[in-house]
Amino acid sequence: MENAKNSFYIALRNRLAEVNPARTIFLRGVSRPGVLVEENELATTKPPNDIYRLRWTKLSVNRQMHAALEQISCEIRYSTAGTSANGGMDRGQCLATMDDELMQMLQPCSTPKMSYTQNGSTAMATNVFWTAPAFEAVSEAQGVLTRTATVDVFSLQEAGEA
Amino acid sequence: MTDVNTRSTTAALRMADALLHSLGGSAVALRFPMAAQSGQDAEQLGLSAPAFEDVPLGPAVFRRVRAQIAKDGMATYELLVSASAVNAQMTTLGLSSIAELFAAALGMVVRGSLLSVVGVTASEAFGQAYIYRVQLEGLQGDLL
Repeated sequence: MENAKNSFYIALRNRLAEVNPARTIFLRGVSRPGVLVEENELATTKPPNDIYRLRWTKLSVNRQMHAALEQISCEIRYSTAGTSANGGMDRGQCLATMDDELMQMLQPCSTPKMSYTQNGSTAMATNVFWTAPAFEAVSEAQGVLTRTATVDVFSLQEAGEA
Repeated sequence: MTDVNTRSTTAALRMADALLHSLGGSAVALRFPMAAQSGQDAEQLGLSAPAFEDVPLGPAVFRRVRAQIAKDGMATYELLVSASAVNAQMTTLGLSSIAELFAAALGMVVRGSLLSVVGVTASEAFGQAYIYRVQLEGLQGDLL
């Protein structure tokens, strides 16, 4: 499943760089597109605003097919307090922009599956594909709007994959 | 003529250092993640961990507080650390504030265990901090 998770993240990261190159995060001294996988980063008590945070949750495997079909849920969380120049009064607009960007990042809803190692990546034989995002209601706390969109990611298990 | 001004801003610093030394004067370290490698997918995918750097701070006095009221298996600790040591490291690292220094750190290494920094308060004399009280949190049993 790691290959599917990694391929999904890299696809979203590269698509975000095209959809909105200005949405970046400065993390540990390096600027990169504003999307990260929470489990791959240092734990933090205060998640950053204005970026997308991926959290992998449920996992199931269907072995009734010719190759096992893995399904894993990905919660995509994002928050915004708006811009300080507008006193945060544009936070609704900023969240709508992030909703729109996310929908663009998730289209088309497939990407080639890659095998990533410390030394690079190699293409695999199948694609990773996913469902349309299910958007949850917005929550608000201390002037910060937060939304979670859930996507189910599917992948056929290839030879050599756990 | 000898300076006998008791309002000297450095007097409190020297007194705090002497006090911490007399109470054991142990050394602790702030652990910082090194800069990420630009354009490296492996680090963003959790396939390779970043390097870390331990920056020593001392003299310091470490103690456990409210050990019996820990929640979720966590214990709270308190560290008193010399402001002169903290200020020196802040200058060396090119940071502009104490908050920035502790926010950038992953945690504090005490007796080989990594503890999370929960909060930092300063004790001041004549407008200058002479000692920092660092509240730390870690798993019970890590530091018996």
